[in-house]
Amino acid sequence: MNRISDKIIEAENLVYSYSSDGTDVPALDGINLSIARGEFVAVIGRNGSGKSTLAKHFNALFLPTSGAVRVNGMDTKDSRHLWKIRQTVGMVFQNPDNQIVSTTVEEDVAFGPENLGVPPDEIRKRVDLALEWVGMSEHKRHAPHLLSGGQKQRVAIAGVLAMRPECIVLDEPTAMLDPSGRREVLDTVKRLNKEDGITVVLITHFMNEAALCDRVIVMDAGRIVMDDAPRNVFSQVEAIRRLHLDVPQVTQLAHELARSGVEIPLDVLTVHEFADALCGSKLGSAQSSSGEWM
Amino acid sequence: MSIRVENLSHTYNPGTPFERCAIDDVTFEINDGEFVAIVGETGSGKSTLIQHFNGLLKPTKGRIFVDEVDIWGKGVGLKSIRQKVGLVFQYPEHQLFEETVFKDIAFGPRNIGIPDDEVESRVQEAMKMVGLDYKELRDRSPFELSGGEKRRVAMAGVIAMKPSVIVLDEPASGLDPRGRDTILAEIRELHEKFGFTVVLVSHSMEDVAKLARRVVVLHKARLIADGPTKDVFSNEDILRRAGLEVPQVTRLMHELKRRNMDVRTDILTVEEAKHEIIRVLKGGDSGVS
Repeated sequence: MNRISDKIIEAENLVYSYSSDGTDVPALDGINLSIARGEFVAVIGRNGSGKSTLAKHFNALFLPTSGAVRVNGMDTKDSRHLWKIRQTVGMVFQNPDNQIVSTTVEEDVAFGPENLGVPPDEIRKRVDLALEWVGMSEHKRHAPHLLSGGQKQRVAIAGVLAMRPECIVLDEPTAMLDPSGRREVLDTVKRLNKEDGITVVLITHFMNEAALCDRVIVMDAGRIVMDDAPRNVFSQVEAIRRLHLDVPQVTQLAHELARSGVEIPLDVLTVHEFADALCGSKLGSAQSSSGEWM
Repeated sequence: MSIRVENLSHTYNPGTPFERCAIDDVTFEINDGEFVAIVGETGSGKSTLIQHFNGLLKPTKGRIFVDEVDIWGKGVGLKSIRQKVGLVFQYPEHQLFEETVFKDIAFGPRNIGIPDDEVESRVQEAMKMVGLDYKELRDRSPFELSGGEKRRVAMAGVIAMKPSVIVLDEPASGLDPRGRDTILAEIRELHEKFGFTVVLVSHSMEDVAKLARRVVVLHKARLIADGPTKDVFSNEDILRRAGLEVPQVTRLMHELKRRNMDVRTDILTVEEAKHEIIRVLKGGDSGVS
């Protein structure tokens, strides 16, 4: 149908307004952005900055007031593409309890493909594979409400995976989880990105999570105010603070040490990078920074 | 006001196939004027435990004493206990329901028969304590406020009951970093300036490290650690067993130590880490303990 480009999502002069007391309030105010296939992108910004509103444009849950959003080149305003778009970009939300629709895990995961009219034996295959991907196969006959928060979120992700999406958008998927639940979910998402090439857009309030993505988009008042590698974003400690955000503790520490005259790079993001910078990299160079989500 | 938990056990759905022991023989005491954090994984029993503090749940076994009074003893009114121990649930803004901020905060005090003029002064005071402007917000609908403001309205509703103890379940979750810092600073103020005994339930060890002097760790329905925050957080075994994460700077200090840098590992905040690293780089002697 359309060209296959390396861009999976594009937003062009995207404006989205809602009306409040008769006046139009722009929640998104001229967004230009493209996300390449296979990227792992974090979107951060204070409450009300427009992150979730933007994310909901990526699979046509919201449509632009003006401007355009294209998914694999398909304009989200063209209703003929709706199902194809929703299948291409899957969404996972904050509260796992609001996303569960069935009484067993496998039925829950089957819900999406059933609605797409996928044949039963193909559904069986997809459900098994999706549960395997998120490490929940052994729970397939369990009741979802008895699972932990992290497990529920992984089931929600499996439900999206069973639709065979090319991109997953996660809107604060770990906000309600404990540290091990957060780790489960983020490890899963990271693996889907690295091993299966699924594009990931992660909206989060946890700066340590954003620090481990390939790219960080910072939003404020409906606009994109920074869009760069995490290293370049988080080393701007003052600017980030002014946006009501924060930087990882080790980045903040590096800045405070530098201010006291200690020689240390200002763009360290993880415990291992910091230790390498301070002690020399002999010991820790083989260590990867993955698993430093907290 | 003290809360004493004595051999507390709680089993949900006893005698059914869904029987589950959520609290298993837990004993500890929260002393008057303390700031205590309760930490543990989802399902470790934190929420079950705190709902016993004001009699929302009845122990399967064991007893709860509030100011040395057994709250399930004969002739004890749970109403007065609930007034003394205020619970702020997770996402409390979901429980707002009145048409104006004033009415929502006034609901509790009115319900226990407080006269109108006192209700008004209580609402005013409670709003001030959580940093809400009384004049500007009293007649607004709580539903048109921001997330952080809604949460403050819900907290003010609990404070207006004039409790001695405030128990907060994940008060900062879902807020952006600045909103998080602001609400935590207000909670600190409730303790330091207004003298409330505070019990904080949190998944964020960085927040706990900043606020609480004492930490109680729950794991699989049992209490597995209870002590000063520094001591508990420098015990990696306990934390790993409980599925918790120490603050990033604490992990950094452990990593530096592993790489033969002679740093202390009982470090909880960025400020402390800075002083400790500077001390070691300057080749100084032992740090302050």
